[in-house]
Amino acid sequence: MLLDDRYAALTSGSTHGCPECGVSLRPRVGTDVQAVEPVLESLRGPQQRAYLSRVFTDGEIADSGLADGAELLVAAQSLAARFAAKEAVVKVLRPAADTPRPPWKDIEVRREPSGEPRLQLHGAAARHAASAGLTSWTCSLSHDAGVAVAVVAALESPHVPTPSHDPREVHHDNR
Amino acid sequence: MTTDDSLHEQIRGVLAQYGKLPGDVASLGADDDLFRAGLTSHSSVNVMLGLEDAFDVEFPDAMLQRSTFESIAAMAAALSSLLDHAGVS
Repeated sequence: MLLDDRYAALTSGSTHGCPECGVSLRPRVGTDVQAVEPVLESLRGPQQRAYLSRVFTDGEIADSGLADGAELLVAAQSLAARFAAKEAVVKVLRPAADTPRPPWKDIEVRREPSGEPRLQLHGAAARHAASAGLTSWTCSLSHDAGVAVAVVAALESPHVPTPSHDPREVHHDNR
Repeated sequence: MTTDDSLHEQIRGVLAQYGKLPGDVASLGADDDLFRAGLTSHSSVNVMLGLEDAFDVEFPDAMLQRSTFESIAAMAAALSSLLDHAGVS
């Protein structure tokens, strides 16, 4: 393949093809940055209980070490990264201006035993993703120098799952 | 002071406490875009929680959109709706 052809393939926006029909799957990426200090202030302040219960799942709070007596700063770094991930997911979902965003706890980032983050969508977030044909969600988190960052990606498929959710039973949406 | 003025002043108080806006909240117009004025996605969470605590309401999922918190007037309209629904004048 000529170098020009390779460059054209890389920049076409179509890097994956559906194994069923070969239709291209387009990636969507979302990024968000969250300063740790505001999260730390929320954990120290009078709103701590409401803040945690409204924004983070029990699993995310557990992963932050907050319940195990971890340093508040360490917990804040973990939660700041997760908050950034939740915002990054919303950017991938691209809800319409007059559409409510998914509740924060419908977007959950858990820590695998390996330490890697695992992104899970529930409720309204999952429904929005399904209706938009977004699958293969993945995320990467990091924090340093008082800032947490999250990058989230998903693949947009033209296929709309049937109610049986059998991946072999799909129909094409006119996307 | 009208009821609306009072509501706006209470919202300004919550904004001043939790919004972390770089400028003076008192100088903001009721329809000024608060996100352009420095409100972030995280600080909007704290503002929401502050309003819920101040007015003893809970914003339902359907109101969790940027437009609900984008201005003092927008928050006042949302709160009025919630308070009316709760039977509080």
